[in-house]
Amino acid sequence: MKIKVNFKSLMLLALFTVLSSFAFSQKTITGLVKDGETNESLVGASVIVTGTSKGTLTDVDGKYELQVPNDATTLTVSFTGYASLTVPITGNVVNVDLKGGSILESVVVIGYGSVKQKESTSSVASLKSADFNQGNISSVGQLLQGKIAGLVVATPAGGNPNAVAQIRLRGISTFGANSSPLIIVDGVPNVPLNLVDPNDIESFDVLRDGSAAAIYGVQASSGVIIVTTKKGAAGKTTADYNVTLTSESLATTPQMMTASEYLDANKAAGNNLADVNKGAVTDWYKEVTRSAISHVHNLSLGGGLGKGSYRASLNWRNQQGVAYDGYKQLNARVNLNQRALNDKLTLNFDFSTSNQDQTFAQDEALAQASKYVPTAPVRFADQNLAIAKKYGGYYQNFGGFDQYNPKAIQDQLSNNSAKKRYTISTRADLEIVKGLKWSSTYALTREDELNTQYVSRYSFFGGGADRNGIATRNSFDKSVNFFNSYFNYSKDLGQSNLNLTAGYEYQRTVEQGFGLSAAGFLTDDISTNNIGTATDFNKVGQVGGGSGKSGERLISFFGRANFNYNDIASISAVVRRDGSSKFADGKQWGVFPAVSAALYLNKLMNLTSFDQLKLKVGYGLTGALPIERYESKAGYIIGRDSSINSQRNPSTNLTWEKKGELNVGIDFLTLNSRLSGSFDFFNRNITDLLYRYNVPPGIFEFGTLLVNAGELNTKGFDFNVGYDILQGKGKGLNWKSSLVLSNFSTKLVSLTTKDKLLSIGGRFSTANAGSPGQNQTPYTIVEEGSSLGNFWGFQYAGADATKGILIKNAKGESIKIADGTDADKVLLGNGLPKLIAGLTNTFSYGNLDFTFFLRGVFGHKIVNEYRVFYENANGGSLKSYNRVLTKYWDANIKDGAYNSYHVEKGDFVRLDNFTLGYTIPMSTEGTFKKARIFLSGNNVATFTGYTGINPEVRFVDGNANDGTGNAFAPGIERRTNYFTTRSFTLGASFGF
Amino acid sequence: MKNVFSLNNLKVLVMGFFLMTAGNACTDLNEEQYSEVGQSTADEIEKGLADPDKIVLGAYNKLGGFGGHGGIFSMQEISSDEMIIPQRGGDWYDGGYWLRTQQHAFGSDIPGLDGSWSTLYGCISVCNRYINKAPILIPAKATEISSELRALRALCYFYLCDMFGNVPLIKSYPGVLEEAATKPRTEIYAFVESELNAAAPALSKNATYGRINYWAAKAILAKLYLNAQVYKGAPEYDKCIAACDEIISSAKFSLEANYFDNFSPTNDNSKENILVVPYDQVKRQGFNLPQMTLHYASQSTFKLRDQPWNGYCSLAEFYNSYDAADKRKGSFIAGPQFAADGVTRLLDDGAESNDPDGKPLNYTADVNELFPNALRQAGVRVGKFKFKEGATPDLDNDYPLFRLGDIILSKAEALWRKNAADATALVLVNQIRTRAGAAPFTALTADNFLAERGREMFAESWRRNDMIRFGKFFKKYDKFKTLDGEAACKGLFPIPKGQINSNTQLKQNECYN
Repeated sequence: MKIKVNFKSLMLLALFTVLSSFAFSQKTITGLVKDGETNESLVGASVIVTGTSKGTLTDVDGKYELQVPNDATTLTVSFTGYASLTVPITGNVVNVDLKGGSILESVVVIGYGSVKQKESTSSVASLKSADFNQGNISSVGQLLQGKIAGLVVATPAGGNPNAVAQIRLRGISTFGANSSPLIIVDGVPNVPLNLVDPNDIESFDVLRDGSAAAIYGVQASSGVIIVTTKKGAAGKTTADYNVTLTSESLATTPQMMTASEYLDANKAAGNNLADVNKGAVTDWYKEVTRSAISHVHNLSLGGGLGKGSYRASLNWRNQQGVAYDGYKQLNARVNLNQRALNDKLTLNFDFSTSNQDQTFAQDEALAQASKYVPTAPVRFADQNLAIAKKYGGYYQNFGGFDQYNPKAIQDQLSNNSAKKRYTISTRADLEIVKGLKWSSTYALTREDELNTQYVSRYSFFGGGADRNGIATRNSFDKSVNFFNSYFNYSKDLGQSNLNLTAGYEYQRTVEQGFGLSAAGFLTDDISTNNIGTATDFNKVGQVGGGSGKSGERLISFFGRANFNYNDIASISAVVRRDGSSKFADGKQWGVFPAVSAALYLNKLMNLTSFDQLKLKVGYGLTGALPIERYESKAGYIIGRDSSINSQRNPSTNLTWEKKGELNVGIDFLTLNSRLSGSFDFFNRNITDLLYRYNVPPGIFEFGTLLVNAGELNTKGFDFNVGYDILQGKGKGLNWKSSLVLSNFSTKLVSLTTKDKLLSIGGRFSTANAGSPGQNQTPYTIVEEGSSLGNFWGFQYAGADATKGILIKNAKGESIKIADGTDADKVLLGNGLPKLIAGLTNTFSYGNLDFTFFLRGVFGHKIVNEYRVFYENANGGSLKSYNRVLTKYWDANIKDGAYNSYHVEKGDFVRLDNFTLGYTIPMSTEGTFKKARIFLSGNNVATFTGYTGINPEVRFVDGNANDGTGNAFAPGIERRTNYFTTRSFTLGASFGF
Repeated sequence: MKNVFSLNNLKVLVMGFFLMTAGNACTDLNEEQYSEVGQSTADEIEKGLADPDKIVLGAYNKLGGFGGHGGIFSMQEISSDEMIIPQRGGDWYDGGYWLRTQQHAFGSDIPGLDGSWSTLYGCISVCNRYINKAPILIPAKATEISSELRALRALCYFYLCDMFGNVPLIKSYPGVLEEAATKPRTEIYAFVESELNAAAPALSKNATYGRINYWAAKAILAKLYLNAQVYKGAPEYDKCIAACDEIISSAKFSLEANYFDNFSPTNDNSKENILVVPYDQVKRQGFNLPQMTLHYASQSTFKLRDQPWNGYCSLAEFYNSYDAADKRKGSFIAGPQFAADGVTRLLDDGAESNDPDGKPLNYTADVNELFPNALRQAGVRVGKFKFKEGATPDLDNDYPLFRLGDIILSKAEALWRKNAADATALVLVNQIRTRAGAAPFTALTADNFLAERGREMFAESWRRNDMIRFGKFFKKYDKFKTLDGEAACKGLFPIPKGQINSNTQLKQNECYN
């Protein structure tokens, strides 16, 4: 029995129904609504006289009674998770069997409207809440990870609760901004994902291909993810409470030596042990990590009366990270919906707010925990030493480069952020005449953050001890005003139907920031709370401070026409015209058209074994904007000495980057809906690539100029298949399985401007290793005509006791690595994956359910930077830093120099999640209407040959989400990588 | 229930609202430049400046890249016998670029070359802009302003002529790509000469801190002429002497009694410096010598805000060329090192077991090897520019480009090159030696002249230039350099690879194709 109703509201509704029906001549219909497969009666299903608002809900036995006008001919019956059914009124008793969620009838959101899945002409993938990842979910991206073919959600930062996932749709589509898909939340673009609690999400719809995404024009080059939040439903009052408790512990760290291994290695290298034995045995990873306990509470109320519905939710998250980091977050979301004017007008009001207090991990503490010598104590044995007093008692190893006590960093530096975000959104939908609808949305999104950093007056790292404590405060404010207005016209032409959409959209973003940093405090107690008392204010040139503000506008006109002929063929055409303030006068506007079509082969060819066999072909043009706001304009800053300083080379011809994408795909549903799936092939050509060229200084004031140049090609496929393995034959056991597979490959066709004036000259290297010693050693080569993400360096040819690392030179001879030149360097593999797979298996038996999810990524390589720096057995290096001890260790390796030996295969299969749930049978008379408990495990096991921390894909080097990361250099595991964690979650949910 | 609004009325309202929003504001894409000013405002500000010649400051700001790591200083010093950056175990390999620079295995990929090029041409571009705009913006002072900018631009071309020789001669603003083609070194030389001569009459003859005045223009000319044999294959010693004489006899400059006053954090008062890059902890940042040269532990000696990198050091041969009595030997930080209290010995926990000094930090003149395992404490460090206690990576010490000491030696050299027995030449050189407390020379030879210039001009970015002029640059001059009898074309650096990639009109220099 499924119970989803509150008696009071049911009675009220019944009362309304009765009162409002006096005036007409009526008859009474009764009936039973049940699940057609299981014969289970459905409680709270809505039964409506078709075409009216007159209706009722089924009672606790699945029965209904409804007064209907004498002239009524059909009833429409619907229930969440089932396909709506319209049935003829054949007598006074109308019983209805609903069929469980047919994919074909499910609604797909396509931007400024929705279509039934069966009518969709382009590649759109949907994921409903029931299929989300479960367990320890700290960010929205994790819900989707591995579930949608072509959508890669990479979390190389592993257990970092404050990390944002790297989301890429169909691989690489641009180098700059918009490399992450556009996020639309309930029709409002660019809402920060933190504002949406995972518990509040009803579904995701991913517009994968160009023809689907073109309706969002210039922001859509990397695809679109449409998030729909849960709403209240008329006539159903629900109250739900969910709670989870998660315990998280360290899973993978770099494989560093223990103190005894470290001493042995030093001995073998001939080092004087007295130099390296600092007298302690310290497991630095243990020192800087903890077991983290997190809990999440979610309370939601929803329902509706008459012409209105509402949903309100409150989410509290106390998310701890293993590195003494984490966040506390209170989110609230209210949705109100009211119909008026004989249901012609619908008004919608959304308010959501998020208050988040973050404590960030000290990246450097994690990095130092790997390399700091394991024989060093955490604290000085003699706390009375002057040096101990200066550094707060923490042991410090002086005179070394970049050696800092990890625990001291963690305890003596703080980095916090308080973020307040909200969105206020109102929307009106008006049916002007039958078939013609007008919709308009206004939304304001505001993000406000205060970042505070403090370096203790006892801290060696960051220079706090020399400057008596350093306090930094930054504040940042962003507001986005959004408005749109559009018309939608749909016309049923008998065998065919037509749907037209046209509208206007306006978006304005203003960002501003302020920061101040000063040092010199008599006590750490003040921290960043009274910066004005810093003694730096007494000195010239020590206080750092500044502010900035910038803005941008985006204006769009768009239209779409959909035409469906008798479910045999559908065609859709889209055009969007976008204007952006970022471009030069005369170059601001771009037109982005798309066309797509679907043929229903099963109907055309009369293939009765298929419920659906749909061939889709689509082509669409979308655009991308540069990250920077004023690149096309001259700009000057007046210096403190009254000097007038130009800020950039204005790029006077700057315009849209364009992505043309061809998609060919097949959707299928067969074997009595047991087997469903789709296959899509795509080919994307990105032209007028936004690229920052080196230009001749002198001709230009600065050495770089952002221009449109070059061409990038990405092609690949997405495949997903779902199979109901037992389909009712399992004697009560159900087993469903689904698999997603995707692939992409990216080629850099050209990085030369059309006028050939600017060129990268064929190739260049990028992504330098870093300090110490390898500041000028690049990991990656970028080459016109080659794949993106190729590692480049010397080919390892063993190690020799006297010569150290040997490499193959261009002639094929083994030479010392120090004698190698660029001419000897070769390609060492690629950092982007060849195959991405996700396998979900769901079992249920009675009240028990069990899901496990395996995710695999194959064919990519990773530079293990821990090995690049800390694997050599050179005496001097051994003395300075701890060593990585893996299967690759070779005491003959004496040079810390990047080569092919450090490039490892990244293939992995991960048991990302399992969930075991039990639904407690409830009496319908009790306080609790439903209850479920579950146990979930996340990142339970990883199968990989990679010896670093995390074999996860890295799409860029550096920050993946603000556009500053280096997209030319994927696949590098840097030394500040967060460790991975394993977590187990106990959860319960109750319905009242 | 009766509707409050009739549906028809509402329709009109909605349509009206839609049309209004669509028609009115909403195709306006102008966006305000909040924290910077746009072209027109910048023009207005420039026109309205109370002190109109401040528009030149933006050009001078570009020279901030002169003294930092990876710029002109680095290339001119590391390619000479004054300084090296050895590979210290795992530290300072940096792609081998510094080792190759020391070994004269110059490649167009060496980042310091691109850094130098960009600094100089960036400055040239701003000069061009205001040379072009000065007559429009400030007609009353157009001649003074454009003359100063022409002289500054000539200075940049002087360095380009010295380092790269054959470079584009870019004079237009906005830049035109036709000017991006390589011009021969002789043409660059002629341009520098004619520009300075043309600009000089309009330049101030008074002190102009950090800016080019009449005397600075003459100093550049003096150095140009001194190197004429190298730059254009014909000597101009008489013109060099004349330019030097004009400066010396002007009595605007005098040798500081204390040599180090020219390099101290308060050297803006120096009477000897003719033109400096006026580095300042606040106003002109970018001179971070303590980071570049000091051992990590030396942070405590000067209470530096940031930890040093243990890079640049000098060689025993060079350090030992100073007499014990030569006060200029104080240009180095050598021997045992102490904390700021002057008592506590600094310790280097990471000292190698083969370091005879062990953990106590001791800068020794002898550097055991260039790579890969130079000892962490090896090499005496650059101490000529006194480090202020608590210094940030932006030193207050101005960096002298031209000073009277150099002009005196230049005049002496020109005289000596004309006549090896020239008495005045000897007097001038001994004037410099006497100030340093060193015994006077009795005669001048190529060897003792070059060595004397080395001692006097250490760390002032002249060493490569001097060594080329004396021919020593091409020889095996220290224990690490292996090449001997290098071709004359090695006297120029290669054109940076990045520049050739971005400018197809550039031609690579002779030795590097």
